[in-house]
Amino acid sequence: MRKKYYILQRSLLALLLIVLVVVSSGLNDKTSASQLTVRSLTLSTAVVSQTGVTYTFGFTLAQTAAVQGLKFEACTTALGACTAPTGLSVSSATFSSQGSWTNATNFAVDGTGANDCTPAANVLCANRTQAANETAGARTIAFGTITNPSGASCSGSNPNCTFFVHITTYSTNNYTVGGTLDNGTVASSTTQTLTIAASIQEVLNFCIGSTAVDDATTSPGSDCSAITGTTVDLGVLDSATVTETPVSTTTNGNNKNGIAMLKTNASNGASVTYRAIQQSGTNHKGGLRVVGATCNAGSINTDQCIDSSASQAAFSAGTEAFGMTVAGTNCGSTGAYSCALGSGTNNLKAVSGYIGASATSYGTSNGYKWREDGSTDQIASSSTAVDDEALILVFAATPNIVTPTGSYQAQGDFIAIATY
Amino acid sequence: MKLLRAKTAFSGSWLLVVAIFLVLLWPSSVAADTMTNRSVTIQTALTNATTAHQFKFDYASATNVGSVTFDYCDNSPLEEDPCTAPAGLDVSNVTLTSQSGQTGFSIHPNTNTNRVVISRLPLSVSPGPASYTFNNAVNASAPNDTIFVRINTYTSTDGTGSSIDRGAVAFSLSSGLAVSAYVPPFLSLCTGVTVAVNCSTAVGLGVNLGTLSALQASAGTSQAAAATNDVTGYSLSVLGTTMTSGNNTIPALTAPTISSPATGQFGINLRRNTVPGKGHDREGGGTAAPTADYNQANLFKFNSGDTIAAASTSTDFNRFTITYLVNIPFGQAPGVYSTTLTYVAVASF
Repeated sequence: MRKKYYILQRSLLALLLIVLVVVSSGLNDKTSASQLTVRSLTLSTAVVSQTGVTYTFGFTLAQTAAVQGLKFEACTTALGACTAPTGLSVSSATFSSQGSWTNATNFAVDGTGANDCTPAANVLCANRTQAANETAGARTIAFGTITNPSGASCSGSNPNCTFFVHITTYSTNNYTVGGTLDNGTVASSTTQTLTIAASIQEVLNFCIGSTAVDDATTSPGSDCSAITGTTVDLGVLDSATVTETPVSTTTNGNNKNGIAMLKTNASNGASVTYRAIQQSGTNHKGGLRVVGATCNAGSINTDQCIDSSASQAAFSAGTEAFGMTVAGTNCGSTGAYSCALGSGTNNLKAVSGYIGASATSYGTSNGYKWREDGSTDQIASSSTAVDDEALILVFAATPNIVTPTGSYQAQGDFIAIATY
Repeated sequence: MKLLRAKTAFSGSWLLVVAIFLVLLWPSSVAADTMTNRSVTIQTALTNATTAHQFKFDYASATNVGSVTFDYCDNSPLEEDPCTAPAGLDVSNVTLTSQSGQTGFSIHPNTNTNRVVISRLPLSVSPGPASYTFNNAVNASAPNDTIFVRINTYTSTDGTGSSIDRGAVAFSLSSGLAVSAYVPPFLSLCTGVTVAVNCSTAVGLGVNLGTLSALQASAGTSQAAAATNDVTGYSLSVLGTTMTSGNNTIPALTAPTISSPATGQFGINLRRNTVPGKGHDREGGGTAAPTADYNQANLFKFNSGDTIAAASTSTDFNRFTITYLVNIPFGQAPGVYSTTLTYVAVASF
């Protein structure tokens, strides 16, 4: 009997435990929402007070059920009473997109709301009519035309201001409390605009020298630091020929052309000019002359000044003439962009009067020119930046048979002018 | 869970502190506007030259401007970098020779070796181009060196305070480029019975005067051509003797003399003659000419060593035709009379 009573007592206890477990389970279904997991909020821009921002929410539904209502409530804190972040406005928000939902019916922004969801500047309600279950799993939904918080909610109106959004899902499309399914909170922050400052200083590297290079492609040196020399030697002149640089050392030349290399970041371009340095003597001071000699004005063969070619022209042997031309723009040291004289992609171009052959070919067939009066004369220009392009300067001279013997010299003062 | 929230709050605070710290450390934004269309044109790029520097730029801000500064630096155009004065540069004595756009400026005493300050009573400016040219600037001493010039405008009249507009330009100096050439000395002389004007040909070594007679003059010609690029020209001389046959001679004419048959005469000239009808005047493009005693038609002379033609400067070729006149008296001893004459051209170089 005692044993029977004991068995009955234990059976009742077990039944009571089962009933309690069942009741407990039933209560949970009706009053406790599950946690949304893997929650995120992505802002298309975090700049404070920015309008037209798209908020993309991501979360994983915890349970399989119909989801017909969504509520997004933004607060300055994750817990406790909700204070709307200053400046935030979802009042004009629009549905943008949704992803991975089991049922294709899109949610729509609900400007009216009901029950547990009352639209406000910080509360966005969205619903749809879709009674079929959503399987548990990851979902996304995005809303546009939102205005970011101003940051005034944070201490010191710090634009780097965190705010929180509580997300609630409902099985009903009128947000009944009893229809609450899952919820969770995400955090985000506005930020100040970060200005990245940098300075690009003005660049002008211009150098004059001499070079053995006599084409448009062979690098005369990587940059101005590799350009040297101050003299171009035409060697021994002969009235029977037109002598042009480079002149071989076997005829007393120095096998060099002149070179003017330019590098600049001047966005409005640059120009290269020269002026003939005036030497001592009388008349034709800037021409190819014997320093200190008394020369006559005009074209006189019997003085120690070789006539300068005032305009570009090919020379005739024995007819006194001296001049210079830009045989071509050498791109051999240009690396910043595609540069080739043959295709006309060089930025630094010889100007009329000093174009040796053509705009796209290397040579001297057009002849030579030299302005001897000391005024500046432009020989090349660029409308944009230039990266170590080099003008190959070819000089030429021919004496008359009576051109007096002597050591002749001309000097050029080359100037680059960049406009930034 | 409380611990987690505490940690989160702690991290958030740190982020805030770091953010504020970064804000404080971040350089204050540059208030000055950037000038556009900036350029500098130097009259000469030669190192150490005393020259003019012309600056052009567009004012960017519509505000009062009382001064403009031009700082020459060889290290950087950036205002945040200290300015290193270019070696050798001196703009302390510049003069403002021209100004356009915004005008009324004059050199301010704050101008020094590498800084030019121009000043005026502050006046409102309109954005747009302006130009200022300074003379008497001494270029720096390093060739192929880039010199930066920082330009700033100020409301103050002495180049102090916060700048309104700013910008920089650059220029480069050089030692110039010399072109040298050598014209070698040149003297060309040719002689012969006939020669080309430019000495390209010379034919014949002797002149045969035939049989001499007391009744009429005998005459013949030879030619010589010469040119030089000696700036002092050249002289052409004749060396030799009168015509001889053993111990017998025909007297040379020691002064310009007309032909007189039946009189012993030997002479030359370099002209076209009518008595006798021999000879030719100077030919060619040169400037050489017969000397006076040999430059008279129908008058002849011979004196060994005489300069018979000369040029006072470099000259192209001239061809001279030399006429030989011989007269003999009755009773001139028979024989074969001859002479060898040598022509010498001399240039001094």
